[in-house]
Amino acid sequence: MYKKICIYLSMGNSNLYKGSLTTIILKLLEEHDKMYGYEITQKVKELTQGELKITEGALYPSLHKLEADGLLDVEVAKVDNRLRKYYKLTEQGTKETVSKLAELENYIKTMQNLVNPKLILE
Amino acid sequence: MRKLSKEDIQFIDQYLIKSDVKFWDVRTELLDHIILAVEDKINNKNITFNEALLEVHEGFGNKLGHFKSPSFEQKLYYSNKGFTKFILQRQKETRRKYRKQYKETFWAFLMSKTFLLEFAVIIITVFTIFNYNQKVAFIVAICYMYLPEFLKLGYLVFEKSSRKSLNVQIAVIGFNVFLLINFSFIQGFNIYFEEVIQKPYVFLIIFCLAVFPLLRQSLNIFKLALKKSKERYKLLTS
Repeated sequence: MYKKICIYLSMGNSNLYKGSLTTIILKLLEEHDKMYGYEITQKVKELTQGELKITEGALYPSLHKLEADGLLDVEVAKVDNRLRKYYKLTEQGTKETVSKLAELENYIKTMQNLVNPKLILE
Repeated sequence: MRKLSKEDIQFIDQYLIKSDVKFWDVRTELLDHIILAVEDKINNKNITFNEALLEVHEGFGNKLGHFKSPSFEQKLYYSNKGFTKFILQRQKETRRKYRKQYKETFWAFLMSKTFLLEFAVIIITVFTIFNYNQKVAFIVAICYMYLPEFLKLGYLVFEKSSRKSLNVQIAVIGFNVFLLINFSFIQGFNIYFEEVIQKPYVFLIIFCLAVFPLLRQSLNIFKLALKKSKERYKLLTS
């Protein structure tokens, strides 16, 4: 899945990237119980072998939007004598992740068929 | 792995304050992220603290400026556009979150036994006074209506954690639209019945009582925000 997203995002279109950011965050939080902002940026970098770098200016607006939508819940803990804000999926967020991923996968398939019908992404 | 010193962390905290990140609840989130990012860059890219901080500063959408031979501080404090945008966006989303919470819990609160009892006591008190003096009954009704707002102000004055907290501030001002409606209605009433000697205060009383549940629910949302803010502040200062 990440490989697909990575190829899809490395097309260099920032609008495509922006549209998928929430799905990436939801997917990561589905796999990890809870994550903090910096951890998300590092995990994406690691999974895409540095192909995709999420800037702070893009990550936090998405996290705050998802929180306002009720898809993410926030937990605050004290680490190294400072507060760390962890994000985790709510029940609604878990359901939304499934539909968002299916939506993205369908979109990638459709685009693939249009752009290069011979190449099959797996 | 090199960890930032206490002085470095204090410098970042001061840099955030100088960059107009005045809300403590926003600053704590940014501070943690910046510390982690700077530490990571120092260790993995083998760059200095200043260089790492400038890179993170840019990552938030801040500009470094075009100077011939800029000093570190000139670059760092050239623009805080990214942080301003960050705070504005955070305010917008927090407002949206509270509006959602408000709507989702409104009917359940309205139908709750405690609220119905509270509301019944207010109605009985106001209309008992109304039988003796209509104007006094209106004053009592308006006091009840604004009571949730006065309580919010009281919490703001006496509760330390609410000071310079974005979450609490939005919970206070987020529902001010109701106050504007009230003010307009009372103004309209005064203009319309300016010539009338015995003003029909019953309209104003009914209006105040009808608006009371809306403002009372905004107090509930405020209390929730304050509770979370208090918990985090306690954790921060512990």
